Amino acid sequence: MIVGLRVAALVEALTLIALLVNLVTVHWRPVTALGGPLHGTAYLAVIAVVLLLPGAPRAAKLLALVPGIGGWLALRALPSP
Amino acid sequence: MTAVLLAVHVLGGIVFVGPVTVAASLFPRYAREGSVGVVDALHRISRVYAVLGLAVPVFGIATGAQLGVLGDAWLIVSMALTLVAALLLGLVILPAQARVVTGLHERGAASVPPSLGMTTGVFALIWAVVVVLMIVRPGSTTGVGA
Repeated sequence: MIVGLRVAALVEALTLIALLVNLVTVHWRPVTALGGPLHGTAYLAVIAVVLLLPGAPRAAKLLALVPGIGGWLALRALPSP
Repeated sequence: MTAVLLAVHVLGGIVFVGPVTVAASLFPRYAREGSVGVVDALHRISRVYAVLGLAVPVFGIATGAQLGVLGDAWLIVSMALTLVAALLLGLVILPAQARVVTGLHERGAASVPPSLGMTTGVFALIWAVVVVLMIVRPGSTTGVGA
């Protein structure tokens, strides 16, 4: 599950960067159409994985809700295995 | 672009939500038999594919938004049913599975609540209703029904 959280955290951050860069530059429609749902899925996946982790501290669960970098913050808040 | 979103939505439904439905249905039987390996695998499939399955409603809503049908009754009912199924999975089925898995590992036996089988049955039934709604689209002019 931790590997999954790393992947989701990375996708969450990268898709948000791609969406924002696209927003201030070329406004290419496919980036918005595909990047939006992809980012949304990664955001929800981060929250779901942290909630499903047995014994995840409350701080990690709350940090996972932070948009964009929530996955990375939650990873930092989890006790190292 | 709508076609790509819809393709991801349908593919996700088949590849991610399908396995969760099957694994959750089989879990109570193998849990009663006490097959630790099988039960571990089924619980893992239920958890991991539940997370991946989050892509299905997200891409579904994106598809609906592009088609301009988010306000249609068949879609609102489908979304409400999906929410009920997600809550059943996240708040009832997965926690119950986790308790059984812990019991099997720590004590070598675990009591499987009879309600777990019923809940997974309702979970599967909800998907059947949602799929019918997605195809028939009652009240819409683009469905196969009417």
